Amino acid sequence: MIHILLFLLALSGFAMLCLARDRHQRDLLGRKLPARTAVSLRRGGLFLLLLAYPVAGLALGWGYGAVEWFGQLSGGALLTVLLLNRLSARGAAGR
Amino acid sequence: MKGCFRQSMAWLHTWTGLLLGWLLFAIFVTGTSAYFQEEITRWMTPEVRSVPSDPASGFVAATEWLKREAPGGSEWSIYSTGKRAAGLQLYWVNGPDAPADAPTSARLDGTGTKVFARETLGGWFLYRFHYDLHYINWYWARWLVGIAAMAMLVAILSGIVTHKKILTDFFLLRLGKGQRSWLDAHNASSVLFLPFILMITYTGLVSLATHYMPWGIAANYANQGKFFEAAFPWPVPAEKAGPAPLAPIGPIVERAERMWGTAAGSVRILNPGDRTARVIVSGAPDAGMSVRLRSMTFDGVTGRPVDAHDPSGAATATEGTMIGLHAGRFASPLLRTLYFMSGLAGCVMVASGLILWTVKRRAKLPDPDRPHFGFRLVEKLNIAAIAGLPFGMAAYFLANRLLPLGIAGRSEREIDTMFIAWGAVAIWALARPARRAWPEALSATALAFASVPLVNALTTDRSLAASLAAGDSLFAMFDAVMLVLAAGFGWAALKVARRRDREAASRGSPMRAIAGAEAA
Repeated sequence: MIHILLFLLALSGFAMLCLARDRHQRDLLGRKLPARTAVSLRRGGLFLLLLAYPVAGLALGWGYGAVEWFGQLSGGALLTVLLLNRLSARGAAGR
Repeated sequence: MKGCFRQSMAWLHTWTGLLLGWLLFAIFVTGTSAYFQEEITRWMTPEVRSVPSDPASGFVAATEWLKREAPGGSEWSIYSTGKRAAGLQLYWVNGPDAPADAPTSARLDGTGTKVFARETLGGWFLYRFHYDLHYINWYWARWLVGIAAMAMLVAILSGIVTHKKILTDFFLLRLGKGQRSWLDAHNASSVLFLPFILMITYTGLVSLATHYMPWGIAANYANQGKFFEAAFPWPVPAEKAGPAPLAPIGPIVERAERMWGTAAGSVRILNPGDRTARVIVSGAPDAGMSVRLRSMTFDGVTGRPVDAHDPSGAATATEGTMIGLHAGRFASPLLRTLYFMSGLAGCVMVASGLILWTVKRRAKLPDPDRPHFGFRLVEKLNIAAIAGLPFGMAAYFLANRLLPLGIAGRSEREIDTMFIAWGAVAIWALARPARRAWPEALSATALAFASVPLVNALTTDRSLAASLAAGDSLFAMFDAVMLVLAAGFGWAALKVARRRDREAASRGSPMRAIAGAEAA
């Protein structure tokens, strides 16, 4: 359960960071989000990634938690990149 | 100045990466496989049906076994690698009246009986290869591996400097666009997995630090032996004093486990059945993060604790934890999978870096049909390493199933098969034009991996279907991973073949080829 939670935190954190970028907003949504939204997305994304660390530490112990936190971050980032690649390819084909 | 610094870092990155890239690829691939070392060993000894699920009761059964099979021995040792152990490994020193050729080791299964399995080094060999190599002296092999790891560290740090937009391009992965895609793949595999890649390289160097930097020891101890004696005490049997029954092992192991709150991993019994008997219980390798294990010594007659060793000094704990992080023995199945994925990312990073070297330079060649010697050499070595080693590993697994069971030196022949297969791909790559050799070698690797489950089904009764029906997740997973690897290499072969066709079609008009490369 905790592992799924950590993965979801990492994934949504990176997804928000990704959406905070102009370039990927165009890729995914076809338009640019207002600057204020981008800033909140960036802050929110960072917050979720950082939040995952104490969650992992408290649930799994600080040593194991830190190792798993790093692993889950990489996993979440990888899935974000793959999703972005897929979704923006579809968006480009549709446009 | 800044541009100049970045350029010199780019130069450093390119050339340290290229020069040791092929060796690094081999280290990364075999090292990644080592995260499933026990599982590979279990697949490679299909005769073994049961594995010790509870090491504590395994120690009791093993002691009974040794009482029967090695009475009068001066030392018995029983080792378990922990919860995933493929078996209990027993070693003993025979007494003076045993014949000189009497056995001194055995592997026990989960029921406490001796394993009669094909002779193989299993996953352990791949693990060992990743820092000791093979066919060459381990002393120099470790130096080679150390130089490669140091070059890797240099390449990582200079790579971070060279990467102009590490945050801006964090999420970018553009596929199907030639050179840019290779660069994106190289960046994504290294940046997304940077914590792992930095950690694994640094801790890899730390784990052999006393090999590379013996001066700290030389300054403080008379010799290396004295240092290891002090850091990792290794008691030896005392002079025998007369028979006395050995205390029951079960309660002794239990007591140590209660003391630590974690499982025990090994039991050494000195002078069993003598009044001077000692029982040394050590922690399980997968019970904690550090590889430096706690141990407790008990009187072998009364069963009372007489000594405890806890390597928790700051330096030992740091060193042990770093090596532990590298080896990941403590990792749960999920974390182990993350370790494995990160290792694969490392393989992709090295491979894509090596390929990028040729992709970048091909466009600038004066005559792309007749590249200069250095370019051809790198291209061919890339094929030999990136397709050749996986092909060799598939051949290693196939040899495990196909070599006759009784032949002498069987485990060594499995290993020879791996290197012969690897060498064959290298020769193939040298002999054929790279344009053809790439798809050919990649398809051969795909076929080899695809045939592993097939040959397994034909030579054992533990086929993928039988494993699934029996709920044997380990065998089913191994076969499934082989099929996934086959699919991956097959996909790569197809991609490369298509690209070659496109390139062949656009050749004859060099201007168009160059324009195409620049557009990409």
